Amino acid sequence: MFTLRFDMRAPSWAGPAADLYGAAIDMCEWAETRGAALAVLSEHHGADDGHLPVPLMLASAIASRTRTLAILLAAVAIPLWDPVRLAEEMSVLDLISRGRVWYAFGVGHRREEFEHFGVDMSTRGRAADEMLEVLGPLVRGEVVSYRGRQVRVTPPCATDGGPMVLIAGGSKAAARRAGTHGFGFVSQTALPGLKELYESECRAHGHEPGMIQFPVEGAPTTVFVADDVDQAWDVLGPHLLHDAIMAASYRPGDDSVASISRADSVDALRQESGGPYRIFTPDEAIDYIRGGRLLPLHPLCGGVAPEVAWPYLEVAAAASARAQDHSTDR
Amino acid sequence: MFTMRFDMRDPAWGAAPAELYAAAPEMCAWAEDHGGLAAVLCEHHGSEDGYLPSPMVLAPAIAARTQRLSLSLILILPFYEPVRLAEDMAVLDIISNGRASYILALGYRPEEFEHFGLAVSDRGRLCDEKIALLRRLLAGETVVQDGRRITVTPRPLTAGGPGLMWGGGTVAAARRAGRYGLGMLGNANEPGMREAYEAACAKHGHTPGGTFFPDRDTPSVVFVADDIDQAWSELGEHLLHDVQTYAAWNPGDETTAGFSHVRNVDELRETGTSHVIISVPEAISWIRAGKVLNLSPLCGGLPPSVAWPYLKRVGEVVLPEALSKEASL
Repeated sequence: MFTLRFDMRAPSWAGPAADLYGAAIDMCEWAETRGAALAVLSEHHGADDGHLPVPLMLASAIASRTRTLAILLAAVAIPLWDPVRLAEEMSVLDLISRGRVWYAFGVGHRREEFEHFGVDMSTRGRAADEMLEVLGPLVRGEVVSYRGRQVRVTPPCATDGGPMVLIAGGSKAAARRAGTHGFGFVSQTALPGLKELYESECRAHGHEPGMIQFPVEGAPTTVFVADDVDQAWDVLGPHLLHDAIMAASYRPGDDSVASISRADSVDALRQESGGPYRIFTPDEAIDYIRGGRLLPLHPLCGGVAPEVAWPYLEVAAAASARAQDHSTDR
Repeated sequence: MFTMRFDMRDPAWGAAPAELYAAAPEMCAWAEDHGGLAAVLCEHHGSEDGYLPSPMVLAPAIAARTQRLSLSLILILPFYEPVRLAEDMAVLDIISNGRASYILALGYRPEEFEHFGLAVSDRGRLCDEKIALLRRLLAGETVVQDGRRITVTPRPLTAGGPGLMWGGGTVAAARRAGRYGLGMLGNANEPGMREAYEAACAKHGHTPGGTFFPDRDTPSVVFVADDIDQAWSELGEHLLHDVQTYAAWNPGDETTAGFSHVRNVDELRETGTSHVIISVPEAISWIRAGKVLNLSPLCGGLPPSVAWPYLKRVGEVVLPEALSKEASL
């Protein structure tokens, strides 16, 4: 089994960004019956490489071409949203996807993006808390008192209780926020004590602790599967490096986020032992999956052209199928 | 040829909402192979019957299931954050391969302004500000304003951004369209709109764009049936819900195309203007006269199982017959 991440980054030296959108939708449709468990879409604004700014839009397109695939939007920076508008979009998307779209909400971390929307970054935590207070009831169609007015979002979502919401973050504040509101918690860091803090905050606010996830030491976050690994590094390397450099530049001076690499060349990226970017042979991929983990694919990483990307996805899906088939002796 | 409007109105006694949301993209996928030209999506907020609040979210679901169908989105501009709207439009432009265009409007229900914490009295100023920023961002400009630096990425696929028009039903709306230098879609034909539009274009130095001013008697909701009586008994309450809700939102309005003030299904049927059910021969003669049928296949929360045969009749019976060579002799 595997996951598919799409961020739609397309550096100017790669192919046309527009080609990637159709390919992402096609890949989700193709992969949902071939071992894809989840599609993950991320959000950033004003990126030079065109990083997807509106994951809800792409999620709607993917949802309409798939039947069972879950789609996680991670992370959606809620202080950059109006909660009423976000609740309306979540409701409609919940109806279109029949509850398959999940949200990991974050507070946002790039100053440029707050400026982009004219939102004060210094109060982002408070803004997020204010929003989380009302978002659930709004999506469920309840009458909500918000900033002195009575608001009711229609139509209400289809899913009982609302779509699945997690909190993404790497700090104590994030763990506390997830616990206070009773949401699951996806941590990008392995900071000691976060789990305990999350669980105690849950209990203090009358919630059963929900799903919690920490980065696994040495686990990759972007995987390709290839028969010829050297050749694959030649073809894919510059794209992976672009992704690595962009992701690192979004977290200046912050080495706590596990998925960040500080490599400055394709060779350095490839040499990182236990690094986030890996190209596996099919056998390595099978071992990885048989270890009980989902292979984190990122098929169009760094603007890989669709015709280049498809064969790697096919090899990965074939490995996944073999990994599931326990009767096959390698 | 026909268009399909989807507003997703769904009174409590209508179809299950998720069924309607599944049916709309499916109908679009079928329709583009059977004479469907465009899907029209519109918005209202906080409506008891669940009227679609986010055409921008339904549109990608339709775009992903179609190849050629045009998408026309009618958006109430004051309710949008223009930077996010530009991002949404850019991404939809890419996903739809340039098939989406927009009719922007001022909005009129005070409840909806309240919903977003805005004042109706501010709507003109809000539109002026938002349209200006939106257009600069869609054109690919980096806008520096109030100490902010804003660039929308990715760039739209369509050079200069997707098509924008202004919509409204009054002389004031026509003047605004002309002042903005946008094309104009009138949803009414108040006397003087065209003149006001052209004068405003001239005054502000714009070349007049495309205009469309349907009159009040243009049916906005058409169904085609074999048995008209049976169809009225099956569809009547759904059409009545649609017409009565619009009328309640527009007290005293006698000019806007698309709704009339009626008390029951019989009166609606009698009026015969905005919501009509016509026979196959009548539909054929409309098509041969060059008219486009404005369908609203899921009108008033019509269950898809009921709605499909009416849509299929248009695509499988009316159009092939109307367009066949022999028949046209």
